[in-house]
Amino acid sequence: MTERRDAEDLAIERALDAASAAETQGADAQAVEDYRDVLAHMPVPEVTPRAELEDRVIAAALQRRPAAVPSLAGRRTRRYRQFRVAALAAATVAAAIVVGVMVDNGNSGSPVPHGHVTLAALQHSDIDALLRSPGARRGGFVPAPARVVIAPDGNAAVYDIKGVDAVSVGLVSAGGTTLVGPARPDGGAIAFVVDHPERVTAVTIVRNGVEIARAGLKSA
Amino acid sequence: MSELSADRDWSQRLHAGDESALREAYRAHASAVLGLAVRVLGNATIAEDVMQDVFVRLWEKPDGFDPERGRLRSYLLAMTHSRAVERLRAEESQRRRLVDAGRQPATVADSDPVNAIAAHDAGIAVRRVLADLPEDQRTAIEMAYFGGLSYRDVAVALEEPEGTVRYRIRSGMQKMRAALQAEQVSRP
Repeated sequence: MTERRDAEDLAIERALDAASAAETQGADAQAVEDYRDVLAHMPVPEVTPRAELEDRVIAAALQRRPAAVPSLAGRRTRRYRQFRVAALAAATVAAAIVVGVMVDNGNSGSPVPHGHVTLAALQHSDIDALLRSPGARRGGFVPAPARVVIAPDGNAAVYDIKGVDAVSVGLVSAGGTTLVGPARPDGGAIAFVVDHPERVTAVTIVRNGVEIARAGLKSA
Repeated sequence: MSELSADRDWSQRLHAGDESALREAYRAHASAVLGLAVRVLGNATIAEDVMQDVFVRLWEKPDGFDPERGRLRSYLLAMTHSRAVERLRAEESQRRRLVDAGRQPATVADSDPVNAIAAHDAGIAVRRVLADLPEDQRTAIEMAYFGGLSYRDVAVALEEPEGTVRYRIRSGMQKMRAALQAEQVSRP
């Protein structure tokens, strides 16, 4: 296994942003482009931006550099805005219906929670602190012998994991399941942070894209 | 209009300061850009900021994109990844050291590289190769790319020598590159 980094290594490292440009001097420029093209095809689920973001982004761009073709853009934008007014009106009606249905189901139709792992070395005392957090919710996985705790501030951990294989943690909510990981358990635990912990109704353990265990959450 | 033709058209009009070109590029690629930013950052609010930075940059510096060197999608996603990783490292440097890779706003089904997004044949080819890679290669690539980790960080997380991680990533990336190039050559 050589530690020598040739131009190919440097190109890959640059494309992955795994090292700075200064650290990857000598990378073949075309190879970097090729690998960036490869990475552009990695499996990333698309996330539709909130509708109002388009105007926010365009306005921010135009602040930096005014449009030189305002008439064409203006006409299209006006048409688009007219379309949006009609679309938004229709969407409002549809949303009212959806909200009505969700209220019936006791579901607020909220953002899907996302999370990321922040584990260096989780100690038992860290888990104990999470378990003692007022409002913390916990659960036991079935069939795997592992447990999960999620504190109201979003700090969370899956612990008592048997095995050392890298796994992902699935955050189940009304909006679907989002994955955190893969991560290799450290001391049988994976710590993570969730941005909307109150939305998480259950947690899963996923290995190679397959759910292998699930835990419902209950108040401690 | 082919992807290349569309990219050339957008490039010319972005240079000319045509606002509608920016809107069209946004509508075509914003979902992919935001998806990647959320995947890397695990935070939708920060991801939206990154997405805005990317499109503002495209508008402000249209010279940065050359349709003869690569696709607009690839250019935007590379910029998105770079900026997301910058944000991630800036934040993580003030917190505990990051050891994992994952931030994935996907359904469980979507996490299957083959079953994820099937927008393009080339994408399918890359994802199929990714799915078929040995697990140690795939995990190392995903941790580096989606986790924004250096090779050393990946090595620490996997408890493997850095040289081993480098070899695994290189092997996997070369296979995906070959698959993409073969797909592009075979495309009519």
